[in-house]
Amino acid sequence: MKLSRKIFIITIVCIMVMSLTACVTPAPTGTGKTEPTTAPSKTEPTAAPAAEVPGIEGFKPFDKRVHITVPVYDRSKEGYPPVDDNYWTKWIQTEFGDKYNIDVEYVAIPRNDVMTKYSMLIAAGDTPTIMMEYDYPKVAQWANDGAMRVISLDEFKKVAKDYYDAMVTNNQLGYTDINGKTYFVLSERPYYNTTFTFVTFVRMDWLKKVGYNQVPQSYAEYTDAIDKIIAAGLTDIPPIGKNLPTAAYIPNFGYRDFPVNEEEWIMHSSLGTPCFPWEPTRRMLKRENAEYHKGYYSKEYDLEADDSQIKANFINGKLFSYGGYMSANVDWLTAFYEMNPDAELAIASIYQGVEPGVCDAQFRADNPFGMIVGFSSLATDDQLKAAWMLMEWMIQEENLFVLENGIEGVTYTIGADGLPIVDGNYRGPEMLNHNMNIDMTCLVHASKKVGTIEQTIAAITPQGIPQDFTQALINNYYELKKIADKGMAYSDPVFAVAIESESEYTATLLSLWKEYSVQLVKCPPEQFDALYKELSQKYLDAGYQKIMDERLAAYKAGNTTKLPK
Amino acid sequence: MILSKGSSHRKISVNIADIVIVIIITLLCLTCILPFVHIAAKSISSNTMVLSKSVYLVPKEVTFSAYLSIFRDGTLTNSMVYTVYMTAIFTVFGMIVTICGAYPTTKKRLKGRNFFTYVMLFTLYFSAGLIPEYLLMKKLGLLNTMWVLVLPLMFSPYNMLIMKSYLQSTIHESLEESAFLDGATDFQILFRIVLPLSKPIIATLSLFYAVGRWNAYADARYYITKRALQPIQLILSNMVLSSSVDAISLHESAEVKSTPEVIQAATIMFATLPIICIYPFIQKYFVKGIMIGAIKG
Amino acid sequence: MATGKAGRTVRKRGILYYLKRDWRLYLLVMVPIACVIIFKYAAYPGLRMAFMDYKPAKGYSGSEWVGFETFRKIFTDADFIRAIKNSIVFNLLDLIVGFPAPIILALLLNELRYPRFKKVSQTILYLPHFLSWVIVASVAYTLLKPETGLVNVWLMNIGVIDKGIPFLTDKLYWAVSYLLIAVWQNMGWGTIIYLAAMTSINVELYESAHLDGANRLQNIWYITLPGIKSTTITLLIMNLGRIMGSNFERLESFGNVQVKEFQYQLAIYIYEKGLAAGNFSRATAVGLFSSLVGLILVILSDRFAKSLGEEGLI
Repeated sequence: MKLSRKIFIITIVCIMVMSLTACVTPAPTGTGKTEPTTAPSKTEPTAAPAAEVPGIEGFKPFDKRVHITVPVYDRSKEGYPPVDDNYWTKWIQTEFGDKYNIDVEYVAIPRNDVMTKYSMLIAAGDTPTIMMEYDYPKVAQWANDGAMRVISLDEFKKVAKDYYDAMVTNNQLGYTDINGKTYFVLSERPYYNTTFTFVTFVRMDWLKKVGYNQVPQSYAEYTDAIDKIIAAGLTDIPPIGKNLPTAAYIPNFGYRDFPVNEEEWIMHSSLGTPCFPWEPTRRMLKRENAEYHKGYYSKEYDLEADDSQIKANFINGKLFSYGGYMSANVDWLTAFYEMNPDAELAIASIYQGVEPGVCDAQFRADNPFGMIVGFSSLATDDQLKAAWMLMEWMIQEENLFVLENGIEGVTYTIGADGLPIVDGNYRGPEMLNHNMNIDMTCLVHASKKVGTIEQTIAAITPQGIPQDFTQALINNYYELKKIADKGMAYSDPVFAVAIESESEYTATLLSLWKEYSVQLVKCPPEQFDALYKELSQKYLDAGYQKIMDERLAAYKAGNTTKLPK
Repeated sequence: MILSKGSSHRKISVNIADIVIVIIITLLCLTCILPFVHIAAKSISSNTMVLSKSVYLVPKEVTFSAYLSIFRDGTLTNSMVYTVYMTAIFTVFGMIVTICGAYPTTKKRLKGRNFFTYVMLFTLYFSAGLIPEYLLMKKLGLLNTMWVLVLPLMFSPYNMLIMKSYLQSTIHESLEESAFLDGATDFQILFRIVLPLSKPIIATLSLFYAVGRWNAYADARYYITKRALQPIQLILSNMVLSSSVDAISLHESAEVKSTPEVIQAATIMFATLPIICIYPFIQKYFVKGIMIGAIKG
Repeated sequence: MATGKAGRTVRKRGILYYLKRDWRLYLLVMVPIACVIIFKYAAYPGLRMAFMDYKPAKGYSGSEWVGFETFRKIFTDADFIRAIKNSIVFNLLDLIVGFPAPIILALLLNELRYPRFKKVSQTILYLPHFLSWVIVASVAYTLLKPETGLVNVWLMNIGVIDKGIPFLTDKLYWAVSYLLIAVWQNMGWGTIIYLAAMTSINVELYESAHLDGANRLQNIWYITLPGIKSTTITLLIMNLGRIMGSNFERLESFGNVQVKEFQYQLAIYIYEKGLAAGNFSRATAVGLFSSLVGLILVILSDRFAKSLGEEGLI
């Protein structure tokens, strides 16, 4: 009886499902045409962007429409048009796509969850034709997992001649391979070895009150000034803003020996994994511990996962210093002067941290490249070629200029020096997206270049505030350049093999680093050394040792970049 | 009239309890409303005052520029219209499916009703997880369409159970059975007897469906790539989540500004108001029911 | 399973008889059944990635089978053990603290006699439900910071305390705040279902109780509570099934390094070690495991409820 009833039920279910599935599932129509999934049809190229003439002159339209997808970071910022469908995506379609019979579709990638989004696109077989990231280990992982296509630079050179030449000029050919195969091309990063766009401002009026007429030039002067500022009661909260480290990068360059030991550099120097058990980090934390106990930092600094509270305190005139990237409109500077009309700011010197035997004037240079650009393993030859054509087309001066400045008289005007001045307040349909369409132009370079370095700096000097920092910023640049020329600004190693333990352990290590650094900064100074030793061991056991070993092995096998000089 | 009669002789014994209840409820209400006041105050203060974190409950340097820029911008208003549309469809579909599931399974004479209930409930506790479901949506061709936000979630076993237990406890089987024996079809019973008696639960569940869809964005984060198809809560959450800005700045070595807090606050208000606004319309139904009980009790 | 009269007739009448008699009902019930089959059951085959070393670019067919290797790795992972412990403890606490709150509030609201006040207060009590966790958490931090939070500043000003209370920075205080804030957020919204259940209580019961001279508490105890009993039990059983799950958004937005020890729950584990690391197999395996545990708990508690003579879930 029981069995018969079960069979009965199951039969009903089957019948019903069979008959109903068809009518109940609403067809996924409505929005958008169902695009023919671009299966990796291994057909030979339909057309002849023939290679007789290298570069853009040799471009010919494809016979059959080619569809490519290009990622674009979505920062979800209010006040900007949708990144994947706006005036400029349409402009590229008409100016480039229609000309060569190519459909250019932009795919929005949420900037705060890049890896997950890419992984899911890959899993769904929707890998964008172009895949790019600023972070080398990420692209290495894609290449390693088979999501990227191996390319030939010779072929690339035939299509994208100017792009290739730029790579040669920028000395980037050493970064194109992973595991012995060529996967990447690289975009340019102008002025990569000086970090002049990030500037720290200090309260010059406070310094004057405690007897300094210039910014501190050594750590001794710096601590003396801060101690006096605290003693003089110039602020009712601790004068130095500090927040919880949220990035994996530990700014310990100053604390490193110079020249740094190359093997240590290989094992530790990275943006991706915090190099907690390394002597420079210990020195840095030790100093922070001392500063914490001298009352420089807020007792609850570890609650600030971002720097909004610090920014607020600085704007309210309660902090000694605050730093940020420069642009023509820096809202926190504007707000600062609004709240403190009588205050005077100055640009902090890199030398204020220098203490013989502990800290030098060294800093992190950027990678000598911007985006690392690879191509989907699902891309057909035609799609690959079309993607290369897009890159070559975009690097052409006249196209790039329009993408970055817009339309004359609408989004920009020509200034007295003959350079374009972009109107940041323009809100019409032709408005440029985030940072002058950088998320589109990052395909060819990491930041906009304007004439000489002085002109570039003038273009990013904050406007609309009582003080003019143009000259100070230029001086700052040359000071940094002097250090860079001595070789004291260098970047992190780049690996030509994927370091698998990194993707395995990095997330855990990052959260350990946050936890440990706070413990160490807050612990009683006499317990510091013992605690550091104990936590270092735990950290090594949590996976860092494996990462170090794997990196070192890659170095010994010759699969890494070397220190400059 | 019952109220006036009752209240006259209950006054003394009841008032103390009433006062206590009113006080408790008032305090709770205050804690609920303060965060809103905080956000509302921020949304109409000047950016400088908000950046300096000096706005708590009273707006300072009042300005409506944040709201103006939201309306001028258009992206958010478009997304709002789209989200309202999508939520409405979702709610209607959801209610239809829920009624389809709840009504037959309350019928004792339906063969296999336990089996059907099991089949439906199983999914409540056993899900394949994000990635397999994502790949399924891909296979069904639903990725990057509005339907991916409507169809997979429109059947909620949870809501179906609530509906079912409501039907079981409210609608007397004898009533239906006699109608059935009189020759009324199940459809007629459903439309003429069951549904009219179920107004309170339909109102409640519609609200659940609408609010649930309105507030959810995790699925959209993974299923939708096209900006034009993203619901407003996703845009809002991306805007508010700024924790990784530091790391991003470092990689790009460029300024990564987050959306000004004033605009964030205005967006929160903007995105929350519509769903709060529909509430009074629905409230009418179930409060009426509740009040009958309260007054007579 | 159907019993009694209906059960006996099964043998005598054929399938067709029932189909013919109740085809309308079958038609109706097929709508949700088709829904779950298409959108839920069809995803189950995807669970096989828990037994593979799944690589997104290679898909199911290109990835290697590894059997229970992923599970072995997970169960020997100290982080996983920590996450699972925390998940169970905090979800149980959530249940103990959070489950009765809406019932009590619903009883209070039900006793309110001022319709207008009731209407307004209900609307206000629902408000927190409309705020996402990100927003709730950011407001909570603004108000509860030890030294600069508004609440602590007020408390210090009126002299109740002389040192800020670390509501969100000491792990024990954090646990309390974490639980209570959730209660606060869901309490008002949770009343809806109970209030709706209360409308279905027969009004005559209250009237006759009143004639018998019953007071308010007696009314609540003997009429209202029994009236919502079945709803309460249903909801309780359903909540038990979520004992392993946790809300990633809630955990993420309330997390800070001081409380990592408690905050590290399964949802965080799945995100950090599964999704963000691109390890889909691990994310799916952990999900599968917690689904199974939840399912078993529901079935057990359902049986238990039935053995006590309640209607149970199904």
